[in-house]
Amino acid sequence: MKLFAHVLIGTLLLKVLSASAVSAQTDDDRPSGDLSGVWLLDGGTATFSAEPPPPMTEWAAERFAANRPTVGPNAVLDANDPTLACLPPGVPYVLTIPTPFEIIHVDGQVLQIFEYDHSLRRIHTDGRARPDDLELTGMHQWLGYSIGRWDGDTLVIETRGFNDRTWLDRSGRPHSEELLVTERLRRVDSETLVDDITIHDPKAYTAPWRGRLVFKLEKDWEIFEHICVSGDNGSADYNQYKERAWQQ
Amino acid sequence: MKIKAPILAAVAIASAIAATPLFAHHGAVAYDRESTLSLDATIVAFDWENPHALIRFEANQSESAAQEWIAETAGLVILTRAGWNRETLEPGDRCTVVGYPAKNGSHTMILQRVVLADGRELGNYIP
Repeated sequence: MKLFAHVLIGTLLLKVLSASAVSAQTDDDRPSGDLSGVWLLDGGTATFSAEPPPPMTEWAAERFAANRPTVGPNAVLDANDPTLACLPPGVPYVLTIPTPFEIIHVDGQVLQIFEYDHSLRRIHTDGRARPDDLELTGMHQWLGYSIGRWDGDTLVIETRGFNDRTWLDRSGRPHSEELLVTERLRRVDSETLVDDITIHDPKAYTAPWRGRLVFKLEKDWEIFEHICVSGDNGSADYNQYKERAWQQ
Repeated sequence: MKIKAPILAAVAIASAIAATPLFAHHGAVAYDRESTLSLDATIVAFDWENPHALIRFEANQSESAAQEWIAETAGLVILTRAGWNRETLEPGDRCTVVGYPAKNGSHTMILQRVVLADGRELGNYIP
């Protein structure tokens, strides 16, 4: 009898725990999309778009002329890409870095955890409105403030609230604080994630700029630490190496 | 210790498309991506460090005496996923080092892959 009582209590406990676990994974606003997994960029890293950007405004053209990227037709050795100083990349730049990210669904949020700098992007899917003081508070500056909604199995994400200290891509395309990034993120098959990206930034570009990134599932991977350490550009040996290899 | 390393190959391959994807956060503009250099190497040191590990090795690119080369690799997380660790290369190990040479002819390169003595190949990116 005593044994039976223990089994009964144990069973009830398991049921409670298991219900709690299911609850933590359930998202009422997630009808069919499951984006979870560890994903790696499948494609080039220079930019997020195969299309050339629309004409820049004068404001953006001046900035672009001052940017010295590491890749693309304007690539130089003495680059000033903000990520070289370990400033965080913005969106969509962070998506073009070829280290993986993990997507985890939790109640009311989709979390995107980047291996690069171990950074977290929180995409709110609980129906909240965009904070109207986003530009005033300075609480979200680098990866912006993301709100998502499900359109079938596609997660539609709108991200705003950026500073203008990041580049859109490694090729040095600038953006302003007015940047709105819209993404349509969907799992087209069990191992492929497609992100259709549209840049709206009227202060910098005369029209929207569209692009697409594709990511492949890495089933057996976990996210490691890849921390960019400000000021740590390598040992004395590495700096001697750079001097030797990069001297023109 | 002076080590003579025979030439395995020093081949310039005119190919606009690189077979090996590379990622260096500083870019690869210093390197000649049109050429692939393959050298029979004797390891001098393996500096396992971020932001980029370095392979120091001796090799002769021509009939002249062996010279010290340095190959730059990716960061440690990328190497780890490609099967490397800090003990992959030890001083005195013989292997083949394949990479894109620096444009300035300074006996430096950005690594594409190494072929170890046991025949295993380790890339500089994600397999």
